[in-house]
Amino acid sequence: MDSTTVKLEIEADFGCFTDPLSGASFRTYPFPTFSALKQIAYAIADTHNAYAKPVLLRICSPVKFANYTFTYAGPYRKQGRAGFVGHSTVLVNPRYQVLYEVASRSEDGGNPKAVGLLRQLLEHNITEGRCKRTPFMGRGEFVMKYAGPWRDAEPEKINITVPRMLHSVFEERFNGEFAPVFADAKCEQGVVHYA
Amino acid sequence: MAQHTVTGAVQIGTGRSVANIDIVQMTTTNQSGVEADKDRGMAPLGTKVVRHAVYTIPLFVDPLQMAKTNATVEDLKVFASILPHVFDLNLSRTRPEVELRHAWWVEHTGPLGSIPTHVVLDTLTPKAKTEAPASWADYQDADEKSLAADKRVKSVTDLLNGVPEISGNRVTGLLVVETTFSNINGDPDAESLPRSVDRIGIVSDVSIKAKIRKIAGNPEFFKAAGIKYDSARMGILEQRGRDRNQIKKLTPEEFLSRFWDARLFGSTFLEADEKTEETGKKTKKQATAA
Repeated sequence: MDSTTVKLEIEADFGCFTDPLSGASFRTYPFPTFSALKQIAYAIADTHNAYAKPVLLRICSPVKFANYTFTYAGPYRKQGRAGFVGHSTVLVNPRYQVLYEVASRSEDGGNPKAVGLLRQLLEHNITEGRCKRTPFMGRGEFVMKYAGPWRDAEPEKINITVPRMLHSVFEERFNGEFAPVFADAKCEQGVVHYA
Repeated sequence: MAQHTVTGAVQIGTGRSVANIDIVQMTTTNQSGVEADKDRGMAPLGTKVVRHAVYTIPLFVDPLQMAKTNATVEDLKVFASILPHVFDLNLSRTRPEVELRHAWWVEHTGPLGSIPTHVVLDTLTPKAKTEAPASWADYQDADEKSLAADKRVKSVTDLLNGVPEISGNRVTGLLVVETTFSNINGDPDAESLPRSVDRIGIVSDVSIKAKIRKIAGNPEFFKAAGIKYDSARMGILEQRGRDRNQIKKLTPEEFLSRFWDARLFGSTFLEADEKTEETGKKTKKQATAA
């Protein structure tokens, strides 16, 4: 591991990384998007000058889906109605090992100390169980049952290609504009490389 | 008001059963007249219930988020006071025997947390002693003393014994619920069959929050619990009978000040502004914020 990378393992009972093309019946992608993994690191630690971008994902549990429905009684329901049922397809028992590369938010590379600081902060928080806010597996209710250093595990021998998968929602820089990017994503032998 | 999007200070996770569950049919009859032209009858009522299960439901308090939602220590006190009664005060025919065994409230030593969540949850989760546990006696209860002795933890409290002093530290909590011949959370997509995936029982966060909101919206609970009820701040956003047009007129500050559940659980209340209503499309700024 070089001086700019950080390892994080995450595991939960459920996960949902919604394909926006699934519309109102939320359907998860078979593995997390670049954007979702970036936000998980952001929940653990962040600084203004640097950020952690996922570069590699190891899928350490079989990819398995389940239906998950919920009753919605919030402000979007039709006036006078008690609520409505929302449908979603979620991942069951997702477990991932993620390799992050800490990079500067500045286009000219910024101050190397900022990168080093965030890397140290992330490693410290991952080891000690600290976080800025509770990380979750795509949806707030799918909290982690493990978020910490890599444990012994091998990637599942699975190969999946997702055409036009959502890569990121916002521009890469801090407080970036809404600018969704879609790109083909490949999982080979349980490993995904993010550009 | 154009939009109010807030992430709450309290996060409730999806609950799950500790062991596999068995779903059985519970059939009863209703002898009172249920048809318009009859004053008596024998209408069979069938519901699916779980024979016996112990569920764990994790929850988290994010102190850094409290400042963003204007949530206060008093709000958290209300939340912690409601938790021990969340099932007692929400009785239902389909969950006649639901007993909250523990409502663990583990305070970290700082706002960012001081001990990994999985250490807390693993320690407090009861362990099944047999493959098919049929009663509480078939579980090994948690050894909270070992957790309380850990220097990374400030305090471990079972809310059933009282609400501790609430501070600005991070909290990891766990509800441990025993159910017998009950359906703690039906699946609306499967005719209210108890939720399960691969025979593991599931409880949605939505169902727990709904029960909490129901209690929080009842001033009588505050009287009984000896908690001051501040009607100006104890509004419930997600309930029937709200006046949407009135809410639209609130400023973001007024919105957060009024709705207790928005401060704690978060909410997305989006309203199209005039420009959007004309075009039917989101502006770039709105889409970014959403």
